[in-house]
Amino acid sequence: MHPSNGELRSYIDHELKEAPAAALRSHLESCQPCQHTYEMLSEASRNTQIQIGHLSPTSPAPGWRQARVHFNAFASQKEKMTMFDRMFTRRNRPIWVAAGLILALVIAISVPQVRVIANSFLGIFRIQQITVVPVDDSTLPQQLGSSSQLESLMTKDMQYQKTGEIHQVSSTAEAEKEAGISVRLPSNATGDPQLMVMPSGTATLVVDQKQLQALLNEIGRTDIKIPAGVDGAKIVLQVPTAISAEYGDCKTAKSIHHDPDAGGFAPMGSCTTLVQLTSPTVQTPPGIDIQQIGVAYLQILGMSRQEAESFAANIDWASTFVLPIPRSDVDYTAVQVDGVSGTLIQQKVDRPGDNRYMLMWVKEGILYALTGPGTRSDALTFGNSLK
Amino acid sequence: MAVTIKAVKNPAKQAAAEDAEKQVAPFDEAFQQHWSRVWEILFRLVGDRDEAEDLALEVFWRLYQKPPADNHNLPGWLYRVATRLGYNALRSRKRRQQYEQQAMVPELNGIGPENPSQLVEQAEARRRVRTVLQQMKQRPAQILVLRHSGLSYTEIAAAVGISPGSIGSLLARAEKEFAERYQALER
Repeated sequence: MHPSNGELRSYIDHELKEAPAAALRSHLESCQPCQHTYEMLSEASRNTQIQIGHLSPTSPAPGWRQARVHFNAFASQKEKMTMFDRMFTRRNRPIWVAAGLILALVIAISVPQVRVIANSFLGIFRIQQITVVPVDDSTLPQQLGSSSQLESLMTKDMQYQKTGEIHQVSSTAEAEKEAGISVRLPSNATGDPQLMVMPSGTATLVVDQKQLQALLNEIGRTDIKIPAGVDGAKIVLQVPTAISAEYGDCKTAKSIHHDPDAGGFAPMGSCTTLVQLTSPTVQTPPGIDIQQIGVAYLQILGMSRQEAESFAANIDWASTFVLPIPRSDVDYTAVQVDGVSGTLIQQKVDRPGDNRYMLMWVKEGILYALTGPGTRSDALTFGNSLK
Repeated sequence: MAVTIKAVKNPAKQAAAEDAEKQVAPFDEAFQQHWSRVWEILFRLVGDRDEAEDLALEVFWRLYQKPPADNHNLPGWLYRVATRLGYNALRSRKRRQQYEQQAMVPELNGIGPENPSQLVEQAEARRRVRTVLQQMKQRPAQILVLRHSGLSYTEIAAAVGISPGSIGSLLARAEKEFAERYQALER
């Protein structure tokens, strides 16, 4: 019986046990076709080794001790990230800048039409609901995450301001005072939560007409022209102070400071976190056609014009935050939670024990985000028990 | 030697402190034992030392946050997370620009051949290899990189989540696909 390609390949790598290897060796001595296949597979293996060998580093990996120190700083940053920081991580930044960019550039489309926004001198949109749109990372404008124009925009024209650093408080009353909201907690959780205050932040983008046009050109959207009249217009995203209630085995920052030679490190574990804050707002200059902003935003995220117009027609853009979610990493679904409609996002995992979720909803002007290990049922049980 | 890392489930402070003492050495041991290999796998995929380090720190962060239930498969778990993160980074829009720009950087730092045309050839070879890996589906690309990073079939199987007996045929198929795509780029 002739060996399969898999067996031959395993033989080439000395991965067959002794007896089958000996049998295969004996077979090759008398079977010309199999000998030929063996030589073809050997050559393919050698060539691949040479080619992938080009990717090898020319100098050794960073030493583990130095890396361990870096890990402490890395872990500390991860632990301390405010909701504001998370929204503007390197990974999410292109999506957020695309949103800011669209808000700015569609001024060019809508100013000639002049659509008056009711009830406000400035257009101020407070988020009242969340709708998810799946995003395929590979269809985003390829240069958006790394263009020199974007880097310049992020560093010079988009300003970030935080009002303080994340810190712990010892009571719900203290948390409520700092956040200016009534803090709701789950009635069925075991143990007291650790309460953290995440201070408010503001991101302001001042439109630089020339730079934005250069960025649009760079990402291939030369069809959109920004007129000079919008130069200097200001767009402001405000994220109010948020309260985070942590349940379970959440680590504090002080346990991260570790000397790798001395030993002693924080335990590993899992944590359920409920974040609540007054819904963020977006301020834009007057005369903005929100629906057109939405259509352009969705196109930047990868939809065709037709898909974008169809999707956009079903959204109240003045009050809805359209959350882009990378399609390769997560599943999402609309759910009923806490008496309102919410969005459940679940991480795609290889094993059931790795389940993680994020559940987001807006109720009476407060945005809630619940994350933790577990299933849809765990998420909804927790979310529905808030008092 | 199997490294035992246990997730702490009891939220009580005392129990957490006791478990912390038991877990300290294993995490450090895992970090020391596997750091270089995880970094090298990531470097092969992304081609940038700093990016590889960031991703490697992320791999160990995930280990720190939630260790795998099956401790005996710790290397496999680490390599799986590493190749998934590295493959995603490779496929992102950023990699398409940066590796073309940064492929020259190590050589410009004085490492590598002095012959400029060799430098260009090597950079072009790296570009092609990463382009091909980018075009392939994740699992065959993972298997190729892991095998040619020196992992055994048992280690690859643990990383990819299949039986060691399947690796030979998947590897043969992946190498065939790699060769065809590579030749297509050379035309």
